[in-house]
Amino acid sequence: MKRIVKHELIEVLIPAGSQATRFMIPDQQNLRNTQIWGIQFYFDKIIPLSIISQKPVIDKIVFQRSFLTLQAYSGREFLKQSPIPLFQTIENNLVTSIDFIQVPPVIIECTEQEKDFKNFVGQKINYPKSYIDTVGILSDPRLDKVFLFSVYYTDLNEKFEQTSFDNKK
Amino acid sequence: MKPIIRKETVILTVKPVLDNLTNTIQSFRFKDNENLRNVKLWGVQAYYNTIVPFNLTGTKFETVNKKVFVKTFLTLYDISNIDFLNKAPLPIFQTIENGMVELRQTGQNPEWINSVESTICEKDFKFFAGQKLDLQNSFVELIPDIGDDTFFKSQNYIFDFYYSRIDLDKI
Repeated sequence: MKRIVKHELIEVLIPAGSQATRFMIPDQQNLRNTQIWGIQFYFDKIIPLSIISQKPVIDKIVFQRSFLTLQAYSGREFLKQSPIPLFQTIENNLVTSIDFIQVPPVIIECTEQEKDFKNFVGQKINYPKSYIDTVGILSDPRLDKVFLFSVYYTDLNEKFEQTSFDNKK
Repeated sequence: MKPIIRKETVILTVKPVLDNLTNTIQSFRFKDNENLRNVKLWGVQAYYNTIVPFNLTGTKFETVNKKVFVKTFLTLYDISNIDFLNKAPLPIFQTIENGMVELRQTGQNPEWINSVESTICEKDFKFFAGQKLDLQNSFVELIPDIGDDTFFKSQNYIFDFYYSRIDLDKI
C-alpha cells in the first residue's frame, strides 16, 4: 500500500527515430530535495496518453525492455538497472485472448503487472543524474513517445498543514 | 485497507467540447461541497461505468466509460494552495475488480457477438496522509479523442472521498 503525501507525474521523451538507448530524466523543480516513497510506471494499455505533452505512452514491448537507474544525492546509484515492470501495479486484462470480430483476428494482449509492491524509504533522488536504459533502439520511427511514471514523495521543507497566511506556529 | 471515518460521494458532471478538431486538454473543476469543507483527506476512490453504472443523486447522465476514464487525470489542492496530488492518472484510484479478462469473439450465429471488457484495477492501494482538502480548487483533466463521440456527451465522474472533520473527529 502506498501513502500519498504528494504526487508528481513525470514523462521522459523518446523522440521519433531516436537512436539513443539511454534517456535521462529531466530536472523536476517540484522534486528537488524531496524524499521518495514510491514510483509507479505505466504503458499504453494502462494510460494511453500523457497529460503533460499529450504524446502516446510507450507500448508493452518497450516497457519490458526498459530499465530504471536512480541516483541519490550522495552520488550512489541505489536503484541500478531495475526493470520498470517492477513498478507497474495496475491490472487491465489478465489473459491474452483473440478478437475474432476484427478481420483478420487481433490478439488482445494481457497486462504485465507486479504483485509484490515496492516502496522506497525516503531517499533523496538526483533526478537529472537518473535515467532509463533500453535494450536496443526502441523508438518509433514516426511518433514521439514517452515514458510516463508517478512519483510519491514528501517535502520536509514544506509544512502542508499550514496555510499560506497562517502566522501561528 | 481504508478505515472509513466519513465518506462523501461526489458526482462531477462534465461535457467536453469538440473544439477545432484538436485533442486539447479540457479541465473540469469540482464544485464546492459543504461536507468536504474543513476536512482531512484519507482516501479517494474513482469509478467508471462497468463498476458503478449509475448514481443515486438523480442526474440522468451515464457514468464515464473506460476509454474516458483512462484518459483522465486528477489534481487535488490543499488549503495552502499546494497541489499535493498533481495530475494523477485516475486508474490509480479504481480498486474494484469486475471482469479480469478481455474477450471478444463471435458465436456460431454471425450476428451474436460476445464482448467482455476487462476491468482496469489498481492493486497497490493508495491512501492519503490527512491533507486538508480544498475541493473547489481541485479539478480533473481529460484528453478527449476527437474521433470518438463517447467523449463529447454529458457524463458523470463518480468519486468517493474518505475524510475526517477537523472540528469533530479526533483523527
